[in-house]
Amino acid sequence: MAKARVPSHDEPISRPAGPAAGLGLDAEALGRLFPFHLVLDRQLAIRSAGAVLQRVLPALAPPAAFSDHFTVRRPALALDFDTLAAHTRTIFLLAARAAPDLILKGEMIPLKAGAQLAFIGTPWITDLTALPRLRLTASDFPVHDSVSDFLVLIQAQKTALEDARKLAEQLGEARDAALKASRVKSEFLANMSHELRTPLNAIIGFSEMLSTQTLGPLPEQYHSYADYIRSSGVMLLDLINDLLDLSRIEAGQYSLEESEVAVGPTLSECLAVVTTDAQRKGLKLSLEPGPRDLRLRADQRAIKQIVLNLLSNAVKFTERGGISVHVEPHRLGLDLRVVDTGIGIDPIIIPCLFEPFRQGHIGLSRKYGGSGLGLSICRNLVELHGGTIALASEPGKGTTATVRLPPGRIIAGG
Amino acid sequence: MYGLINKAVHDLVVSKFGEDKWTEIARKAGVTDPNFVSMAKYPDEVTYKLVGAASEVLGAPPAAILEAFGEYWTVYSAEAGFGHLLDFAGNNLVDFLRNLDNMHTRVQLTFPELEPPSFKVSEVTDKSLRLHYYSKRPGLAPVAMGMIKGLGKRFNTPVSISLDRGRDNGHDHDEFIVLYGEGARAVA
Ligand code: HEM
Ligand SMILES: Nc1ncnc2c1ncn2[C@@H]1O[C@H](COP(=O)(O)OP(=O)(O)OP(=O)(O)O)[C@@H](O)[C@H]1O
Ligand SMILES: [Mg+2]
Repeated sequence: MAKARVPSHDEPISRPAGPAAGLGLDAEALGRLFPFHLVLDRQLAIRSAGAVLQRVLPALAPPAAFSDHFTVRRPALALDFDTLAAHTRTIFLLAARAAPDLILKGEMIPLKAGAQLAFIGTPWITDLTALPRLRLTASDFPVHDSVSDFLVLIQAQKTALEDARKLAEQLGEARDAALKASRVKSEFLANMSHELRTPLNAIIGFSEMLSTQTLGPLPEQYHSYADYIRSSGVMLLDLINDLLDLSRIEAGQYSLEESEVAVGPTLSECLAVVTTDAQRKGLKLSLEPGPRDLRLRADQRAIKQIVLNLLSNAVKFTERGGISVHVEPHRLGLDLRVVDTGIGIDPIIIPCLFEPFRQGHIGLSRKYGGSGLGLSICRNLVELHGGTIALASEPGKGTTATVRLPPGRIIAGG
Repeated sequence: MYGLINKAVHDLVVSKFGEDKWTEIARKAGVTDPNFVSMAKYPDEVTYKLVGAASEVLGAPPAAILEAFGEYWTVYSAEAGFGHLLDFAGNNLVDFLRNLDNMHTRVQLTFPELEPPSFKVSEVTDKSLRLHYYSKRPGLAPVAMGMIKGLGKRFNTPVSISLDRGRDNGHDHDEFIVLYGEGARAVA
């Protein structure tokens, strides 16, 4: 460690070598250079004062007492000649009693072998608008004094800050409006639920009656039309249900109905739903249900919806091989994994797929159908349970979707 | 005091004890909006209440909290945009302490409502000095002591500080004896 050096702080940096080293200025030049100066004698009477200072403080006529006209704001000290004279190289702030706005910033310089003391300073101003109040103009400041430039600088900065503040305000308003619009939209959709579903249920119900020919045979052509109406109705209902779920979640109106969910049986039910589609494509379905009697504290309907969405994706995007579902409890919670041997997906776009309406296989989306809501609903429902969802994939080899629920959700069998 | 100070208290608590403890402290202190604005002036009461609440929640005496705050301040103020000002005030402990008064005066010039403490240095040797601390506020000597310790770290020199006489004993200001460098090593 470097040895601590005691700096010779109080010594002047260089000592002028007699009058020859002085500037040789006459009284007028000195007055112009220091228009706010004071000269004090040992009794702290003001012997002389700068011309501008006298103009601004008309009551200040030498030999007035210093303390009648000024207070020392800084530093903290006793008001006597020797104390003031001892505080060289100290920033003094003097406040004028007659004009509290007027703060002089400067320093004390001993004069005439210690018989007098000069205060050399300048008004401290941080706001151009204070100048007229103090009856000062730019020409009152000596050219070497940077205060006037400094004021311009501050003014420029204030303007810039004000611009930034206005901009921030506008952005804030725009954001509030957008948030409000989004909330109104979500509320609207959530409230439309009933209105949209009731007529669709009628369409599906009656077309079902037609296609099963409950009331007697139909011409061949009409029969297939009825089938078409029914399947389109079902697709539309699915889409509406997805949209409504999503908007309910976004509107904060989706609350979990928690109960004890038996994991094994729930997964079996989900697999049963996709069995027909899987068999039609020749895909093998398997379930590794993990520990028997594994139960969760969760929303049964939501868990089913999550698993069904992942399974329907797996079946949809797999042409050969199969799909397996795995359950694995561990220290960090419970993993539910849906693994397929399908076409896979480019890992770069995986993070986007959890946003609504995002689909990965752009050119092929006609072939695969769907609206890109499945994963986004899954993520919302998983997060409502305090869990996370992730996709991992190798294009051409297959995809694994992993849902991880927190340990607190496991009731038994974990 | 300016929001800057309360922000530093917030930062200290969150970095050492976590967001939850801060929430508890702020609630106990009756602080409803904990987003302090650096350049806005708050009643001193807010700061004192925060320190009182921190003392209760963290189970440490107020003086220890104040001292920890003082020590943290030298790090925080550098990070909060005053690093250059600290550099400007000196590159060793003695220079820095001599400039401390001028520095607060400069800060006061830009924070017009600042009521800064005043400092003076006397009896300087190469091992020790006497630091005079004048303040309008009661009970903050531990803050100053913590700050001196923080400055020791900043300048990589050991320091040992003790209160020699103070306002508690009827003085108009506090006086600390600061041992530094070899002087502090000698007592260690
Ligand atoms: C760039 C660095 C610093 C800045 C910007 C700064 C600024 C401030 C501010 C804003 C206050 C609160 C006063 C008020 O709001 O009215 C304060 C108080 C204080 N400062 Fe500093 N300060 C700095 C460095 C230091 C250092 C290094 C010390 C070391 C001793 C110190 C000692 C104190 C003390 C003891 C107080 C307590 C207030 C009181 O006694 O009334 N400061 N300072
Ligand atoms: N198992 C998977 N294999 C390959 N790609 C997948 C798989 N699961 C999802 N993807 C990709 O992610 C996209 C988004 O899936 P998501 O379930 O959100 O929508 P979708 O299945 O296209 O439509 P919807 O689920 O609304 O019927 C899919 O379009 C597909 O590109
Ligand atoms: Mg899908």
